[in-house]
Amino acid sequence: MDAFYASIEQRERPEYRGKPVIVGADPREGRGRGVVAACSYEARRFGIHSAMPIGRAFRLCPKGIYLRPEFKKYTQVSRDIRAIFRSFAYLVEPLSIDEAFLDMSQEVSDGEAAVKVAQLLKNTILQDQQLTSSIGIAPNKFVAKIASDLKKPDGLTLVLSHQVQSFLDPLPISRLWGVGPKTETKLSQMGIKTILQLRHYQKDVLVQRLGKMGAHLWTLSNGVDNRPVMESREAKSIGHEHTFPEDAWDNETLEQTLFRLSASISQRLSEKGLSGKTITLKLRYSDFTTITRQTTLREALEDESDIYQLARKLLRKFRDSKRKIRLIGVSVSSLQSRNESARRQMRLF
Amino acid sequence: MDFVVKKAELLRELQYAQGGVERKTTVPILSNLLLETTANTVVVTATDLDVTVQCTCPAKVKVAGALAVSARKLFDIVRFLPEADIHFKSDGQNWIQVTCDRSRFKIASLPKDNFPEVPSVDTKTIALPAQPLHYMSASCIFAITQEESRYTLNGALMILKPGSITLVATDGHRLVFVSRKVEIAGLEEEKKVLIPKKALIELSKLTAEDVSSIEFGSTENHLFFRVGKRLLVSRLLTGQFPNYDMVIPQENDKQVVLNTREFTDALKRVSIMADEESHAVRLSVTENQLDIHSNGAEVGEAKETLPAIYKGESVGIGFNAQYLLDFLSGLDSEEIELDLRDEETQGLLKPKPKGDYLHQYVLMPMKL
Repeated sequence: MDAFYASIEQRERPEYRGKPVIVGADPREGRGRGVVAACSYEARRFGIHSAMPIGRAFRLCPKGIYLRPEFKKYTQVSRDIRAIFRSFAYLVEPLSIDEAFLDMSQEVSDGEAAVKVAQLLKNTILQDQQLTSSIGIAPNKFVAKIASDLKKPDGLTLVLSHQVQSFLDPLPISRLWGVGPKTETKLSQMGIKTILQLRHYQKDVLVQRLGKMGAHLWTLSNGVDNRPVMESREAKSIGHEHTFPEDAWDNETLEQTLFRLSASISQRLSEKGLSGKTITLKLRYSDFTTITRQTTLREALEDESDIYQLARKLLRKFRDSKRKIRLIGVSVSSLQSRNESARRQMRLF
Repeated sequence: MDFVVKKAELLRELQYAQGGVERKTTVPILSNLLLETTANTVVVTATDLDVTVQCTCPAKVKVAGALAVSARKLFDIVRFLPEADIHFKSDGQNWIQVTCDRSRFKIASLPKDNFPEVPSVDTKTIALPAQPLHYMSASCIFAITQEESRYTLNGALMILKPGSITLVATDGHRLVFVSRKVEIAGLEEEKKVLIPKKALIELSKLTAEDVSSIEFGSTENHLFFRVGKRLLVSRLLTGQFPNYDMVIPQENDKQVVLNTREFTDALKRVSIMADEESHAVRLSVTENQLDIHSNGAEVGEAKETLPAIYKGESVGIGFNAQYLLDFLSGLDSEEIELDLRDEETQGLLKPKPKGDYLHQYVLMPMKL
């Protein structure tokens, strides 16, 4: 979907149409904290993008329409759109609230037919929801995802098997799944800026420098992605984070926040009947450098005080106490269902 | 910094200090040792922020100083040097020159400021007998949980009373309780502290030497153990240790006496065919006889029959064989008493004869 949250707001309030709409935290005249969740294409012309600090967005576009997100509303729209997807494809894999993979291999046999179906899908969404969408059609998931991002808003991009390589080659490596700012820096230090350069690099050297990730990226750069479209993608992790109204320093504030985050994670785990083995702590310092540190256990856990104790241990161990903290987050991953973790060994405590 | 030490003396201290060094290399400075001179010694400090080990080695000090160097490199160098004097000399910048006999090394060093400060030991101490502490800590370590999530079980509970010392450790499945009557001078009231696993391991190493007593002190956040010229500082584990009294069974009326050695060997053999994940074995007790049986689903099965001293009703119970062996392998008593009630109640194991210690092992059964 294009600028999903912002488009929903514009759909409901005609007076917002054609104007820069920014959904996210309260900008508080530029002093606000937190980030942009989504913004309309009009706002993007000011240089605003999602995940940008709201204060910076405000300075770029002080006259914009700033709205707090209403997730309930967006989730409902997301469900309605998924219902449309399901009427088109047998296999639908939601990727996020406003993205999904549709396996059309049973429905269409060539590119021409695929484009026709995609156009029909876009029209259906537009008529039904008054929202525009962008679609990428490709032989595999990762190329389709890149293609869908290429001509937003209201785009439709077709990449046939024999075009995959020429389509990928000129793109910057940041387009690849799994390449974040850190990997991007590493790769660019190795002289790799485009997918073409990555593909021509020796696979062994990539593996040496980047580990498993190196092999994975090299495979992607060759346009290979064999992951099937999966109907129900199970949650890989459950996490929460919090941006402080003012950069936090003292242990008490940080640890109290950790506790609240751990409690809500524990609650969500128990709602889903899950427990997890890996606890990850995320810290963003006032200068926006962000670190994540994790610990993995042999037994899965779900209890709020257990999650809290481990997160606190990570905090105490890895926090640079000279710097103020802007955001703190906790997540639990390596999830398993609680039945699996029940053992025959009985417990004393 | 400029000093000379004897190889054997330094090596002995480095071996102790090595235990304090951070094993993961997440914080680079913690893979270093701090070397600090006094008038006629060099003090070696290692820390992982939770546990600090500080040792002292006699030295001829020419120029005082303090520097941090790689613990691993220094240990390896000293280990392989000949038995002779070792000369350490810093160039005032980033390097220490180490010379010994025909060998010369240049080792990178870091300024003292980079190294974490050792918590202040300035507190009242009491004397504890070293050998009982050594026996008791060595008996407990295996039962302390590996599981970081069970925070308060990450250490052993030490209970000091004017007339006794007790250590208790558990991982939630089993529990070791070991206690000895001993007069503790200067202790007025009961004192309970949680000693982290790593600190207990270091304490058991330090007390393995021939010392008669150690000094113990605690502050709000730290525990201190001074063993001769060596110092162990540990962060205090906080939290509620479970109520261990509640789980030590009092009504296990089926008392079986076994030869420790025979029981251990039979368990080792039978557990070969046990399920690899659970290590489950089944014990069946009948008059003067114990049968041990294992059944690994696709692997096969094993059975062994042992003589036992037992009169009473038959009883069967499942246990993790590894948990039994963990306890048995540390014992030197000739016999062992196993007290059972039914297949769902925890078993109690005690060495026989009792000796100077009240030594108990509580083990929760497995559902088979």
